[in-house]
Amino acid sequence: MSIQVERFGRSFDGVTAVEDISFQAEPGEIIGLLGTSGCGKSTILRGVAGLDTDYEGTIRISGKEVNGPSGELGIIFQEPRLMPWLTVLDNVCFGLEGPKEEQKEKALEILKVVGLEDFTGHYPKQLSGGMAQRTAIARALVTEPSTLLLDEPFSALDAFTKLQLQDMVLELWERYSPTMIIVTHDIDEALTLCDRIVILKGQPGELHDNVKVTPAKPRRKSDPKLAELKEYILESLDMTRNAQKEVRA
Amino acid sequence: MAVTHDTTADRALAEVPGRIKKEQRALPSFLKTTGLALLFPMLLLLIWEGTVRFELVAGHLLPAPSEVVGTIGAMAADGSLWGHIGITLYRLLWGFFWGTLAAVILGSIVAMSRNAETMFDPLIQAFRAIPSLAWVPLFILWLGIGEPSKVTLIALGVFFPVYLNVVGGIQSVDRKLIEVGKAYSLSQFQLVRRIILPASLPSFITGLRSGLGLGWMFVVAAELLGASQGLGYLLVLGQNTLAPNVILASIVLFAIMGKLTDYALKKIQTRALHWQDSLKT
Repeated sequence: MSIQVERFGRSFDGVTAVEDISFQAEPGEIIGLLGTSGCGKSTILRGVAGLDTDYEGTIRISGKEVNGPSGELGIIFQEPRLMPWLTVLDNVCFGLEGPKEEQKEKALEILKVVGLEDFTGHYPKQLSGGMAQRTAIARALVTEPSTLLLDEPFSALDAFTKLQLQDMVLELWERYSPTMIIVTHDIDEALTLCDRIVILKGQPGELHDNVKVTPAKPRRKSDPKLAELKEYILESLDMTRNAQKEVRA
Repeated sequence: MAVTHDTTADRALAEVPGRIKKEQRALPSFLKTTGLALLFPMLLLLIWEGTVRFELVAGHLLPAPSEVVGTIGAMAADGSLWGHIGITLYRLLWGFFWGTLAAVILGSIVAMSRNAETMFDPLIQAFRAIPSLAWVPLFILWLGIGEPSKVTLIALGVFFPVYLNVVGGIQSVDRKLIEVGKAYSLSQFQLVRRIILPASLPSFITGLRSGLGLGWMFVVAAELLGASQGLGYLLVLGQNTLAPNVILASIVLFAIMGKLTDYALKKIQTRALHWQDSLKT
């Protein structure tokens, strides 16, 4: 499904957090919202998810304006947010409807894909951080959403688990091809996953750039084109040494 | 054994005696802790029995432990014991039931709606400040000296701890989990059933346990104030007939019953909350 964000703005208690953000996602595209902390990336995502409706501007999903959460979206938060009283299997079934047997079948299938088929009866307290986040990913994907929203999904994980799960998300994307919006502050992550990177900057956050990432996925980390892009993004976020010197001067 | 050495088998053989040794050590250590825990109470009982036997204290004021046990045994033999325990348990459970029911209903309403909270909570808190026993004369005037006034008093005692824990439990449910429910566009009712209820269960059960403790306290109060049967009545009877053995028998029975009911709730708690991170599995 396509997503259109037009002139999005949001203020909290009179303080503007983001303003005038517009971008689009074509069906099956992976969009990265990249920016330093506090520039309102997650605020935009909450608007798209329908969890927040007090924003300015319009958000359309397949042409229809968003005015509340819809079951057609899958959301993956920064924390796994599993129900501690449910087993892995029941947590994955959380968003499903219909007969129990069917739910279980679907959940088991997706748990195999994320590699947790041996942990169906475990409770969240018995899982490692990576396993818990994988359960959360399975929960979001089991409803086969046409749009998947990810809010810094891997930022709380260690570097190895992070790489593993990024690969897994790409695999899942190849399989189900949902439209995805990923909020992240990790440039490498954005360059690995995204077709297009929307760069936000400043406080209040404003749209700084909208970069297309052309190399085909899966991408090699050593791709010179990606290195160039990374340099460019760092520069535009004033993150390189020269830029920082300039700012100080 | 074969000529060639099977190293894994060797290791296994080497392990077996070690394990047995460990078990042998584990068993006495278990006995040791139980023994240690029982040592002091046993010693006290012995001293108590001894001082009474050798007439160091007046036996008609402090009966020996053996006599207290004897009193309980006699009551059990003539059947009156079961009547006393039965009626006390009946009052307690009935009061516990009504107190919990009222607390759950009012507590959920207050916790779910801000308006209800501003309307009801200050009043409920004001009532909480009144010592519950102060209501006794009024209850007796209104409801008579029979069962209703007793059950009401117990229910009142049970109400407050349960109410506070229901409100606290619901209000402290993780907002992030509720958001997950909202993201799946669950209705308000589904949110309550699938997220708020299970998430506030630990706090609710804690409330039940402290409510039960207060319930026992108020059973004694209610039965002291006018009853013709029950463990609390035995206390009055003992006082009026100058029979400290009956008083002590009643106290011992209260201790046993209180412990048993709390143990039952604790079992339920462990069973229902096995998913909690803080509880050992």
